[in-house]
Amino acid sequence: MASEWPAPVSEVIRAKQQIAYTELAMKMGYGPEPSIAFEAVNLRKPDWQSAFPYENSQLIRILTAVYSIRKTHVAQRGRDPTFASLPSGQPNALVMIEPRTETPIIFFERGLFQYFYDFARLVAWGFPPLTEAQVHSTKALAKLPNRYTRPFESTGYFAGLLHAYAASGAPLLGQSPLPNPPDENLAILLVNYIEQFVLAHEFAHVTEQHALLAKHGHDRESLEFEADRIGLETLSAVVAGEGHCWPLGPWAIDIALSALHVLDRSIIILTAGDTQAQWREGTHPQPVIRRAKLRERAINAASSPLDSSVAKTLFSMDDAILDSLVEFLNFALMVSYHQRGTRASPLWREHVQHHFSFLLPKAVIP
Amino acid sequence: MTQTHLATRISFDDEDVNKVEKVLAELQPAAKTTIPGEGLVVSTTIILAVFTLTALVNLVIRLSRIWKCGIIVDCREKEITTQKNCDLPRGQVLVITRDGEKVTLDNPSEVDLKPFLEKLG
Repeated sequence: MASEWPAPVSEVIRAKQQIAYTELAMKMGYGPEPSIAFEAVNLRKPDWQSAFPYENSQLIRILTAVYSIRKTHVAQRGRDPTFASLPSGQPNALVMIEPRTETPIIFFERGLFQYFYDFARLVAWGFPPLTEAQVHSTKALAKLPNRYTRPFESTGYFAGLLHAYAASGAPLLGQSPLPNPPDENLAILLVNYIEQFVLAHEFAHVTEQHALLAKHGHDRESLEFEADRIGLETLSAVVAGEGHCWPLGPWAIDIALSALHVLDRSIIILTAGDTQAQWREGTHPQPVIRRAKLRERAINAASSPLDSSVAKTLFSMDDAILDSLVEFLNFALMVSYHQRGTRASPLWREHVQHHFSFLLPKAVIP
Repeated sequence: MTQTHLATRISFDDEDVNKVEKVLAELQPAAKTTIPGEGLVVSTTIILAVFTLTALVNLVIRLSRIWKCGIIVDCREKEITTQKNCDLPRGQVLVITRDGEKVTLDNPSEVDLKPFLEKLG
């Protein structure tokens, strides 16, 4: 409730949300009209009686639930954060510390919820289902089959969903075109752990004072790696607290970083018609590098040889299944670009400009 | 003659924060709070500041010259929002006055910009 928050905190949230919806409105072609963009995304007008007219209360309820699970299993350092949502389709989350009250404000983008939930459902379509025993026991999880024939339709769903995201941006919350997988429990498990990881990553920026370190010239990419490391440690505590087996934590993070990487590749193909793009050195390392570091950390951090071995098996499974899905995806995207003239959505413009430079001159930034 | 002080929010990402801070320091705001945002895939910055009208006009002009994209200056609320916007080309400033009038200016000077912001003062 806004009345519980100090005025400076409310001021920052209102400012950030208005700015974000103005930006979205410009991208959607409405001009600088944040209330029109709000209505388009949330299917209702802003509530001008509320302290936060641009807030999506459904997302706040999800965040609050995710945080309360974390608090059950992880010792709290520092103040409780305040949560707020942002409307862009980017799979991003952001932490700002209101300096007058030293309150951390964690913003989650709408696109983060939707994309990771959709990707988790794709995993549930394309990967072997897990039994209850395999969720709770590493010994049981070690018995995952070496060979798995995924459902035929999973290939089409994978390509279709990534194409939709790259060409049109994230769908409205709850309006994804992807049908529910037979084993929805796996999708729910994964997306819950991915959200815990993202929350832990953002929290790490606060507890480790990364904003201050960055201001004093500390290498920003190394701060991101540190936040990922702390995210892995925190998620491991949550997984243990929930009575689940340890390798599921690193696996969920692996899926999340793979999801970001696959989305980037899809956007690049619909921007340039091929995969030739270079990641710009800057504030964030590219997802595939983050994933490699996480894998190494996870294997070294495993508390038993069995945990380490099962984690490695899950990572190899990710590579095998995702590589074959991505091969078809790339083909479908290339056909769409070259034969149908499909291009990446303008919603991804800043993301492309910020993170990529293209090796061939023909790339047209959306 | 004293000028009215105007509360302003400045929002941007993918720009050199130190350059922006240098511009602000030269314009001597009455108050300033910088709030960086660290993100999962991208970071951003909001600066809350209080300027005189003259300083605000100068701020917008100088930012329009150093930022990679255009700027929206939205005066419809009590706090004026000055936000980088990449749907506008570099050097373009879209001003929305308190009355909701929208004006687009390309590489504006003080003479171009001041009349639209004067009503705030």
